[in-house]
Amino acid sequence: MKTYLKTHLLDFIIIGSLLFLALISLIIIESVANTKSVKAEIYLKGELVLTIDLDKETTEKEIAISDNIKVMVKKGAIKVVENNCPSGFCMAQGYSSSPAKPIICAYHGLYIKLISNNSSDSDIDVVAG
Amino acid sequence: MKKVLIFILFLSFFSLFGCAKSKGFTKTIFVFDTTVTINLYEGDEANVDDIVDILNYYHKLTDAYHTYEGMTNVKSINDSIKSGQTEIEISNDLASILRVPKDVDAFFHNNIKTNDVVMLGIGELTNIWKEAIKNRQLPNEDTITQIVQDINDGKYNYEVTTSATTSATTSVITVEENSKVQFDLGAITKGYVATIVHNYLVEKDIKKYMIDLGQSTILVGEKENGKGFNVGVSGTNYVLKNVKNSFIGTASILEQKTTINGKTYHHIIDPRTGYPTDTYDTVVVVTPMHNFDKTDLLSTFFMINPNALSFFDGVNLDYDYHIHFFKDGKLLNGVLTL
Repeated sequence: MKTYLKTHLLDFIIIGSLLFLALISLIIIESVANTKSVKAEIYLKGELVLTIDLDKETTEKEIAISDNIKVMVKKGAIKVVENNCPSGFCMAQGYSSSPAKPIICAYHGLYIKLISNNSSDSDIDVVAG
Repeated sequence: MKKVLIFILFLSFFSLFGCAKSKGFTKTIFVFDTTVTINLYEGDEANVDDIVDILNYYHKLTDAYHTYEGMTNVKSINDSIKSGQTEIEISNDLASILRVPKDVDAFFHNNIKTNDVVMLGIGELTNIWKEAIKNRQLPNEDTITQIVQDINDGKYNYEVTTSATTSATTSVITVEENSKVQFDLGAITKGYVATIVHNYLVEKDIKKYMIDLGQSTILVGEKENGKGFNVGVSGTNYVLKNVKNSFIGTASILEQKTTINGKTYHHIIDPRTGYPTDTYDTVVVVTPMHNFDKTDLLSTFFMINPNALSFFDGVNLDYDYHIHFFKDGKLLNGVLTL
């Protein structure tokens, strides 16, 4: 057995290196894929009422946030579909999928914050507006 | 083979560290009619609680809709003026906020007159427009004309003095008889409070933080890794890269606006006309820490007064302000540095 290992040492090293490279590639691919992954934190008057991992949403579905507010979520995006606020501006905004485009309704104190699950140096940390 | 396995094990071990959550304290509260997020990457939870206390105190002090026992706040001042009082005793904390526009005038050597353009006493006009936006119905033109006339006649003027006859902890606000003054401090409160919070952070030697007072007022130190923050500008694809140890003051129409007869109306009102401005959608002012207490007001000032730059012609200012003007999601005329 020892002799076998000795004669095939180079083979083991090559196989090991290939496995190692495959592992590294997998990590890189996973990390790139996750960069686009977004979760939505929904606040009502400063209280975090719901967190949704938008990456896990496979179909479009409606979620009630309060008696007056409903949101629609789909993979990677969220929008307000029902709100009895006077301006309706939050509904007009449509789907948002970027941390740079939070959804805000000043009337109800609604704040939908989008956060990248895997942040990098190039991601947006905070939005001015 | 053993060495390779050990190497892979080490790699996995350090990968786990890479996935570890960043340390620090985060709290979100609702004050000043907006969602405020406090992120401290150093210090402790008691520091977060202290900041929450500061924010709650100033929220109550500047609240124009509710009174609080044992406190003279904006609501109680407005009520007193409505009932005909011409002199009202207020705390020095509130007096300092009411003095900000005049402080800005002095700060810019009176080359600009913010007090003439960003008026704190025209809450009546601001409320008329807030209602108009809410109901999607333009206000009565004659009412607006009358208010502008009253502004020109000085009926919205006020003076804040620290009188020798009052104790050291109080000041007096004086208005004329039949004054129309109704305070709305929305244009300056968050910027002012950010100054107080910043002073606290300096006192506690906390350098790594990000405090977002509802998007329009953002206070950034450094990230946990010592780098700056990337600040997106709402409604645009513009990102301010690697911003640290700065204050970001923003005036924007994007949150409170409506369209009536094809024209956009919003809540930032030019007191000279009585109507919303329409030059820019958003003005972002970024300034280093030592100047930031005036920044919030300046963003509104530049929003209302597109010709403000003419005030700076030939003036050599030692201050470092970076001003970004946006219209229809696009940055206009590059970044102005004063």
